[in-house]
Amino acid sequence: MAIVLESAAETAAVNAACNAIVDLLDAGSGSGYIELQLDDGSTEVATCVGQKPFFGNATAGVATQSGSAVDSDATGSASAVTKFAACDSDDNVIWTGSVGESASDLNIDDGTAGGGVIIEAGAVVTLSSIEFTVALAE
Amino acid sequence: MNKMKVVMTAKGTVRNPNGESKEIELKAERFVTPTEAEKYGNRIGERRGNSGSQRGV
Repeated sequence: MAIVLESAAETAAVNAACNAIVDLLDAGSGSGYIELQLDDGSTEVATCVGQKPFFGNATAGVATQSGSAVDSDATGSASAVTKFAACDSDDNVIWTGSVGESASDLNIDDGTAGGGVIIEAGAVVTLSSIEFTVALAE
Repeated sequence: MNKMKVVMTAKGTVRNPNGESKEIELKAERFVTPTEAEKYGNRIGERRGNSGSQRGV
């Protein structure tokens, strides 16, 4: 049977769902992390370790990252990064997604703009603005 | 029927040793089925008693 939420419960429901999902990153004993990967979805190029808790409490279904997630000495690769995986400290993958160049980067970057995201060995990778949103659909 | 849509977005920078600096974006998006929503609901119940007080930064 389908789940149908009453309107009065929507905000509480999306906040609870959002908190429950982002809390999964904190399930391990240490801090969760976001791993940047090659297109094969398994080759690690950089691992940005977040804070614990990784996200703050959700408001209106939106949880915002606590501090920054950083890799100060990336593994690097000559190939472009196209995927990421968000994991807890026990290496359980919680969710995955894609990586790309931002629109602003295409304007300010030179030489490599449009050529994909190349992370060299020893690079510093900082994820400073992460949001996780849960919203009702349909 | 209500479904939940889950979206994660992230922005950041890559500073390569050669001096190049690049902005990147990460994005994940999917719909949560009623079955998954029920699973998350169960997790909400499980976690209220042991980790809720750790957040609130």
